[in-house]
Amino acid sequence: MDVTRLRRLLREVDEEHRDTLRNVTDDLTAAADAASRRSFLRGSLLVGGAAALVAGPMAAAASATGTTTTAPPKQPLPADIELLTWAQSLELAAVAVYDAALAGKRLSDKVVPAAALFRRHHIDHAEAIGALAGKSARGIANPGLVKAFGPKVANATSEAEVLGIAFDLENAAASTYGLALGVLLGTNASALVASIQPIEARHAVVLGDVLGKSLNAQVPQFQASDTKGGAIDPAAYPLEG
Amino acid sequence: MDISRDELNRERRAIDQANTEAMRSHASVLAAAFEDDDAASADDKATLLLGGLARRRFLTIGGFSVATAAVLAACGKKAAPEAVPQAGQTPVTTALVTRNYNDVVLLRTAASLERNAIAAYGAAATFLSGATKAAAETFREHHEAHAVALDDQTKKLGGEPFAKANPVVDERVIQPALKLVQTDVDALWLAHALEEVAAHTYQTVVPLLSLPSLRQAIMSIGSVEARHATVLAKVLGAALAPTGVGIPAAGPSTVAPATTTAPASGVAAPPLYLLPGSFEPVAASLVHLSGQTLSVAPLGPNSFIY
Repeated sequence: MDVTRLRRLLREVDEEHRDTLRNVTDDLTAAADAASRRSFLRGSLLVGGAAALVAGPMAAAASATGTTTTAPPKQPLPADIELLTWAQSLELAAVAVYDAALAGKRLSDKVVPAAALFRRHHIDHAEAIGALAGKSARGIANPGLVKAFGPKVANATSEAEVLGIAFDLENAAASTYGLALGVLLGTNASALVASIQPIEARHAVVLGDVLGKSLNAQVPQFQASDTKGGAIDPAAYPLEG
Repeated sequence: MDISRDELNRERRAIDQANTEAMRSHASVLAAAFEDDDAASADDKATLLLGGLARRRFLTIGGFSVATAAVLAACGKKAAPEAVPQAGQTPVTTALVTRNYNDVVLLRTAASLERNAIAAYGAAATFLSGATKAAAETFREHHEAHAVALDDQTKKLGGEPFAKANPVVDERVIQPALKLVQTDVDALWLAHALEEVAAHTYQTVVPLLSLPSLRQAIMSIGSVEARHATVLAKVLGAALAPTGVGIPAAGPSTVAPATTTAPASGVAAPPLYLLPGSFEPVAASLVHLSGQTLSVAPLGPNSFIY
């Protein structure tokens, strides 16, 4: 048998194998989907059910021995995509806030470049999140967040007031990504969020420095990752309505 | 046969690995579905169990088996090649050690890196004063809290905390760098580089950790290291140039303006950023000490604490 024939046979085997794997993936997706729907009906936006279904065995293994034999999924699961879609709306709401800040003429020439740069970063984040969320991505600013932050910026009477709102928003975004990391199952989504969260945190430090905030206000001991620590609750700012 | 045994073995291993991974995932779903009565309906469970034997898949498996058999038949042993006469002793080859890392290894490594930072801040303190020294002391305390948190998490997973600094980082980065630290600016450069390395290392670790809760925990620290780095870049920029690095400027590039003040030796310092760009990078950090620029990479498997 020559190499060409052998390689052709190997390719055929590989294709058959991949077809079988697709069926397994279908099972996984269907199971996660079912859990996602049930969980959503129970009122949990972040789809703890899916996490329990897929991560449950991993969690059990890890708690017992510190090791796992099941690799976490790379691609975002349906629950992840739901959260990513929401995260994109958060980024676009931040863009809208910076748009309002730049349009409000309250910012000095020294600060305008930073605001424009941060706005650009949020656009980049929204695009990256949208790329991972795929067709589910809505590409809209979160209406509730725009409603909550937009008028504050528009009605601000000083640069410090505008920057204070941006400082709070950036800190809230960093905390929200901490919250998200605790529920995202796919490692691609987790890695993306982990590359965005520190940038939001750095934005907050730069803004805090300009505002003359104390070091402790700029740099907490641990980044908060719950709503008590300032994370935005997705359930309080749904994309619908 | 016209194909080398090594190549054939590589192909076979790749197929086997893909199959093993698929089976693990399937097993997890089955376990989850059947351990919790509410996790899946009876129909779902039946599909999960019997789906693999549905008619379409039966045909698929059939084709798969036939093709596999064909390859295996083709790969059967042939007559041994003609031996080449050999004189003297055959060299002894030792296989490389395979080291697998898991959550505990990653947490122990992170804790060791925190202790590197604690040691570096301790050594740097002698060169600092005033508000800068106070900030460094605050950051050192943060690292101590991080190390304790990582130790606790390691214990929860059944592992043994690693209560020392990372020996690879200490030997190859900290000790050589400390020999070059002569001024407050040098001390700030070293601290800044270590904070950047920590932030990048934790980001690297995120997709390697198996559980979302651990990814959340590691980035609750990683984001703080990034904040430390930004503060230190600001302070360092102010020390390097009277105007400092200022606040980031917008432009075609998404990075902050660089400070390229030339030191007395005439070798320009590397760029210094408050913000590395739109996304936190996974890249080496530069540290400029006594006119020399060193590169410090994020930790990888060679410096993990197994």
